[in-house]
Amino acid sequence: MSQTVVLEQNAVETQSITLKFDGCSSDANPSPIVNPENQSITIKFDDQASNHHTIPVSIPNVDSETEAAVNEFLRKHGSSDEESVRTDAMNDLWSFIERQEIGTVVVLVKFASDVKNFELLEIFCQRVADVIAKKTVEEVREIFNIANDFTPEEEQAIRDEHRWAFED
Amino acid sequence: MVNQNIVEDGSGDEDDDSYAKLSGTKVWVLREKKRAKNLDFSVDPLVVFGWDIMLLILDHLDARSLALSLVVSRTWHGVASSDAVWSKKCEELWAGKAHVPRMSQIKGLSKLAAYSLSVMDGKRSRILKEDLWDHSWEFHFKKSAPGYWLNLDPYWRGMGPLMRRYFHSDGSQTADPGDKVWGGQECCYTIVTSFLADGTIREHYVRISRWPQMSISRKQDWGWKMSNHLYSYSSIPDADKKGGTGPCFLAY
Repeated sequence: MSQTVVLEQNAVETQSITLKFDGCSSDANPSPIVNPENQSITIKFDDQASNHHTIPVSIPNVDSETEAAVNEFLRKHGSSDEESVRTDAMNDLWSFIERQEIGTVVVLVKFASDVKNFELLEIFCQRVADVIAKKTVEEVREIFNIANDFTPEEEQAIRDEHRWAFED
Repeated sequence: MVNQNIVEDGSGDEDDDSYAKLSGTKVWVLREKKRAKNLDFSVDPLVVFGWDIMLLILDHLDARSLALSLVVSRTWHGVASSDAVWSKKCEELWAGKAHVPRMSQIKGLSKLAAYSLSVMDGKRSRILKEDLWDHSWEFHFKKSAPGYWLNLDPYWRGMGPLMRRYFHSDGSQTADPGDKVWGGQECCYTIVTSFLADGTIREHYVRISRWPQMSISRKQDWGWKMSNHLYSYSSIPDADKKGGTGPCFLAY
C-alpha cells in the first residue's frame, strides 16, 4: 500500500512547501512527480520502507549479543530491496536464534509483537513452533516450565478422543 | 548424565530436598525449571504473550504436534482447540481426498472434532451400505475375465467412458443407459462382516448377486476398491458433495 500526497501549486506565485511525515523514519527518498497540466505535485512513497526500523532498537531482557543480532537483521533487511540480501539477513538471524535458549526466543516474540515488526514476529514464532513440534507432551511442559493442571482422567479422555495423534 | 548425588548449588530452594531421590534426567529437568524460575517472567508462551500470538505459533505446527498441545495444560487446550487453527488443518487434510466423511460436516461441530473424525474414519477398512449408496462406482473387468466381457469393456477397448455401477438403498444395483455389459437382469448386493470374539473382523466382503465375493480395500486418498478375480469396482471421487458422504457415525 502506498500513501499519496497531492499538492497544488499556484501557477503565479512560487510557494515553498514543507513536508512532514509523522515520525516514521524512511530510507526511501520520495521523488515528486509534477503533472504539467494542472501543476499538481504527487509524491508517493512506499509504506513498507517507513515500517522498517533502521535505527538500532533496544530490546529488554536479552543479552547484548542477541540485541546486536536482531539489530543487524533490521539493518540488513531494511537496507536493501534485493531479495538475496533480505534472504541472507533472515538466514543469519535464523541461525543465531536456533542457538539461543527458549527463554530468549519467548522474550523476542513478545518484543516483536510489541513493536509490531511482522517479519521478526514470523521468524521468532516459527522458532518457538519448531521447538514444540515433534516433542512429547512431557518434554513441552518441561521446556516451558508449564504445570499440568489436568486430572489423569481428563488427560486420558482427551488422548482417547484424538487417539490418532497419540498412538504410534 | 548428571550425577544424581549433586545437590550443592546453594540456592536454598525447597526443591533441594527432593533432588537426592531423583534420577539424573529429573535433576536436569529441575535445574532447567530453576533457571526458568530465576527469570522475572514465566516462560509459558501463552502466559507471556496471550492468545493471539499463541495462535500464530500454533499455526506453524503440524496437525499431530498441534493435537499434542491440547494436553499440555488447560489454557493450552483452550487455544489449541480453537477453530482458528484447525480450520486450515481440515482444509489441508481434505485436499486431494476422494471423499469427505459425512460425520465431519455436521453443523456446529468444532473443526478439531471434524479433523479427528475425518482421520479416524479414513482408517476404516470396513465398508458400510452408506458408502456403497453415496458414491458412484467405476467398474471394469480384469484381464483374466472371459474374452466376451473384455471385448465389451471400454476399459480394455480404450474407447468410450468407463462403465459405472450404482448401489441403491433398496438393495438393487443399476448401470448407465447404453452400458454394453449390463444385462438388465435383477441384481442385488450384500455386505458380509463377521467378527471374532475380541471384536476384530474375521471376514468382510461384498457380493453382487451370486458372483464371487469381492474383497474390500481402502486407498490412501480414502477411496474404496472392491474386487475379485473377475472384475473390480472403484469409488469415484466426490469430495465436492455438500454434506459429505458415507455413514453419519464413526464405525470401526
